[in-house]
Amino acid sequence: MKNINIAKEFSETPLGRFADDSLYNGTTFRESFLRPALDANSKVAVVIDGVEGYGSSFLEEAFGGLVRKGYYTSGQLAEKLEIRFEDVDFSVYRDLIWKYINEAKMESKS
Amino acid sequence: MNAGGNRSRRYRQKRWRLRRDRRNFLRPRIANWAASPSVLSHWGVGNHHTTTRDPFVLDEPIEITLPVRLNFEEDYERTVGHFNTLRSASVGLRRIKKLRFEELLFISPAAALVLASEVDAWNERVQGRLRANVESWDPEIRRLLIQMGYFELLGLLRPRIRTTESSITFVNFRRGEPGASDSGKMAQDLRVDIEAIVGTGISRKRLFEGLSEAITNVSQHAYPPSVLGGDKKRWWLSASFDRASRNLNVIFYDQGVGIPKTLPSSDLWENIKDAFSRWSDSEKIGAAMEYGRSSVNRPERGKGLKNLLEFAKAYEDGKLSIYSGHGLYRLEHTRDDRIRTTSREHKRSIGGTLIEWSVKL
Repeated sequence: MKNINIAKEFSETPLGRFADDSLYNGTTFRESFLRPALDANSKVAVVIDGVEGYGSSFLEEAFGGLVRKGYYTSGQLAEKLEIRFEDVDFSVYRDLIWKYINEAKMESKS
Repeated sequence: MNAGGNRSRRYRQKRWRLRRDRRNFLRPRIANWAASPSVLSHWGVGNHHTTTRDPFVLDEPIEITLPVRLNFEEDYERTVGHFNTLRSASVGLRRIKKLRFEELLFISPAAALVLASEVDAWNERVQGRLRANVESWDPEIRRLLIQMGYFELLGLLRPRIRTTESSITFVNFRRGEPGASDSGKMAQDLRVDIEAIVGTGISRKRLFEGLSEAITNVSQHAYPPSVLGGDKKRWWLSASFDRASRNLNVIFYDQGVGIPKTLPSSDLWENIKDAFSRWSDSEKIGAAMEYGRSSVNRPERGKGLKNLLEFAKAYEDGKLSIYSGHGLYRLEHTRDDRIRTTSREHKRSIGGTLIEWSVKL
C-alpha cells in the first residue's frame, strides 16, 4: 500500500482549487500526488491530519475531481482509497471527501 | 520662408487649442465628492513635478480630510464616501494631493483594513511616492496604524514614535495576490499572530476553512477578466483583539465587483434570474450564502460560501458580516444554536466585498 501524508509531502496549508487560488491547491495535489499514486498502486492511504485545515474547494477538487475528470469511478475509489487520521477532529474532512467523491459526476468531453 | 514658418506655427497652435477644447469637453465630470478640501497635510504625494499627467484626470488635485470616525457600523455612508474618493485616485479618475488624518479619532478594525487597501492601491498608482507626516495624528490612530503595519504595507519607514497602551491589539495587515503565492501559509501566519495575542484556544480549523473560502472566492469570482483591473486579484487581511471585551475580529477585504454583481448562471439561478435581477444586494448575498454562488455553470463550484460561517458558528454569539456592493448580510450564531440573519441596504457601495468574523473568546 502506498501512503501519502498531505502535511509532510504536500503542504501544511493546502488551499483552493486551482493555481490561481494558491500554490498548494486541489488540482496540483490531485495531478501530482494522488492520481499518479492511484495509477501505480492497488491501494493508496492518504493521511489527512497535521494540516491547518481544509476548505471545501480543496477537498472537492482533489478528491471529487478524480471522478469528474473520469480517472476513477466512486466504486473504484471505495476499493482503492483509504483516508487516515489520528486527530479525531479530522473525521469531518474524511466524511466530506467521501461525500464529494460520491456526489461527483463525470464531466462530458464535449 | 519666414512667413511660411509662422503660418505653420499658427496652424499647429490652432490645432493644439482645438484638441485641448475637445479634450476638456470630453473630460468626465465628477461631482459630490464625499471629502472636503482642507489645508494641512498628513499623507501627501511626494515629487509632484514628476507625476505623469493623464488626459482624463480632473485637473485640480484635491485634499481629503478623513472624518472624526471611520466605522461601517454607525457611520457607513460617510466612511464609504471617503473610501470611494480614495478609490477614484487609485483607478486614475482623480488626483489626490493630500490625505489628512488629523481629525480622525476613531477607526474600526474593518474600516482600517479598507482604508489600508485604498491607500495601498493609491500608493501603487503614484508608484510608491506617498509620504506620511504622523506627528499630528491622534496617538491612538497612530498606534493602531503602526501596529497594523500600515507603513510596512506602503513600503514606508515605520515612525520612531512611542505608542500608547490600549486594550485593543491589532495584527499586521496582509496583502495577497493569488497566482504565485502560498495563500494558505498567509492564513496560517495570521492565526499564529492571533494566538500570540489571545493564546492557543481559537478554533484554527474553522478559521482556516473560512479564510480558504474567502481567498478562493477572490481568485474565482471577485475580479472577472472583463472588468478593468481584473488581472489584479488582490485581497487584504487583518485581525484585532480587545482584551477588555475579549472580542476577536478577523477581517478580509477585496476590491472586486462584489457578490451581487457576479450573476450566477447555474441551472437553479437560471430559473430565478428574473426575480434575482430585482433583488436588493443584501438579498443577493443572502441567496448566494444559502444556495451557493456558482457564476460558472458547474454544480461542484460555488458551494463553499457556507464555509465562511463555520468560524462564527464555533463560538456562542459568533457573528459573520458580509458587506458586498450596497448590501450587508449578517449571520449570528445564537446561544440556542440557531442562526439569526439580518440585512441592510446602503446608498453607497463598499467597492468590493468585506467579510468580518466577530467572536467572543
